Amino acid sequence: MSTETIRLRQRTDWSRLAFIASVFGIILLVWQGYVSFIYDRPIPLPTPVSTVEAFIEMSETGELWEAAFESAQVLVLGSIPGILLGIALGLVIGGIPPLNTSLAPYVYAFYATPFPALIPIFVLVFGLGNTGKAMIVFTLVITTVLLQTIAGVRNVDARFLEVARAFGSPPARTLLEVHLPASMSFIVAGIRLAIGRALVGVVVAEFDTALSGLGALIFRYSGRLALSHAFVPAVVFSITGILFYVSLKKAEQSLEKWRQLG
Amino acid sequence: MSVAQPSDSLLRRALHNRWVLRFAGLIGVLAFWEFMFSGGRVNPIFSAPPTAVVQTIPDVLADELYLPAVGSTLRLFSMGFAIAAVLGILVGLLLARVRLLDVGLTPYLNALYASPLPAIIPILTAVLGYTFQTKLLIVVLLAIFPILINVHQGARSVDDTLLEVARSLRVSESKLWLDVIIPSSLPFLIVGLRLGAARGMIGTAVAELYTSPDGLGYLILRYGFRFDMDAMLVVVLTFTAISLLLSWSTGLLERRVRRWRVSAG
Repeated sequence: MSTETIRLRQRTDWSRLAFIASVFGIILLVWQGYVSFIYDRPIPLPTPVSTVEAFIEMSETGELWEAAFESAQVLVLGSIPGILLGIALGLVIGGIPPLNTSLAPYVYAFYATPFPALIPIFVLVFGLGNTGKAMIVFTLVITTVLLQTIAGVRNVDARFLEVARAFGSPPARTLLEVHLPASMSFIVAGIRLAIGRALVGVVVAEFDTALSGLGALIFRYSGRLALSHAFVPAVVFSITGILFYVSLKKAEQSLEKWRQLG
Repeated sequence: MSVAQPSDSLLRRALHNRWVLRFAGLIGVLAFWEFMFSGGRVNPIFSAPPTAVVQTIPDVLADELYLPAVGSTLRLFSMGFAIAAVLGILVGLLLARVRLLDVGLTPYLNALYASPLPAIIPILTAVLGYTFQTKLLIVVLLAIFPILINVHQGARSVDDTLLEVARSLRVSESKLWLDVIIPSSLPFLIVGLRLGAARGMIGTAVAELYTSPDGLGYLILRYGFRFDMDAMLVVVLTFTAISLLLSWSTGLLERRVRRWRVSAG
């Protein structure tokens, strides 16, 4: 009985995957067919085939990987300090209720600001180089992680806190050993949202300066109407975003399950 | 926490009053901001302490470009958001109802949701030109996915007993939709609309800055060329105010729907 159901589930999963993959095939075929046979305007649209060709060319000349490295550098430089500081500040602000009431509304107001509007200001103040872009990433990441950490800390099960208090745990220790682990699923969700925003921040900042990184490649090739070449770095960005989203979502779900068990 | 001694009850009461705390927080934030820009820590060209920004507010409001800019930003956002809401609801409901479409397309829609879509903006402008339609498309693309995905989830999470009762009573398909599926997926829809509005505002800002400049985005660039940081920040604060107003009103709607649902269920 149980082996039967397992086999059944496996079989349905395979046919499901095959179906999903074939839908992708159909989308690519329709896209290629539309551009090759129906589309007749002068600007050449990217097709699956021309995008793959452009990808091969750009990775052979190395410009794609060079640009990807520049963008990755900015992302890492900005997001790692942003994540660490966001968690630390979130624990402190979330753990001290009066501090939370007095500061959280303003952090939220900053978070709610449509951030692309801030990018010209960052470029003006920090220049066109990597510092400005890393500062944009840092700012986006720290506010997102901070708000989620606060939410996590405020949602810690009161029973845990009572036990900690009953055993006379000092506040700092409670914060590190009770609040922090109990709010991990919120923090990971914060990192997931933050990376999504940071990727948009990086690409838009690279349009603004058009000097380095994948965003600049997209911008320059679009200007020359080499749209297949412009599409390749956009796909790289998109795959990066999807990989981060899926893996962090998985981590978040298992942490959330673990949190609910407690 | 340890600041309040039992003896000074005034301070203690203040620490428990929301508005006192918020006001203190505001003062703290402004003082920190002022401190950062004072004493030559930042190049004076880029210096924008709150005292200077506040003094610039009347100048920006008096700029004859300001109100039309607010108007065109609101127009772009509301048109894009409305299109995204209608399309998102329709596609979300369709996916929830037609199993083949659901299995085949949902992974790709989720993938698009997770992608940094503004990356294709230069390609869109190259193909569609520097037009209002391009901007509208950017807003729709950003706003639609949270709406679509939440409606889809909401319509799929309808209580099975409700569906069974409806089916055993031979309720017609249209009545099933109106009386069962739509009401019970309403809270999801509102969450989707709130998230979609936030992303739609991001799309509006991107579109106004990085296609043909327009609206508040254009004003930011214009003041930027003059190195007028104070005025730039006033425009950014306008964006903030619009977004906060949107998030506050959708939040209000969310609470109302939740209350209605609890009292009805």
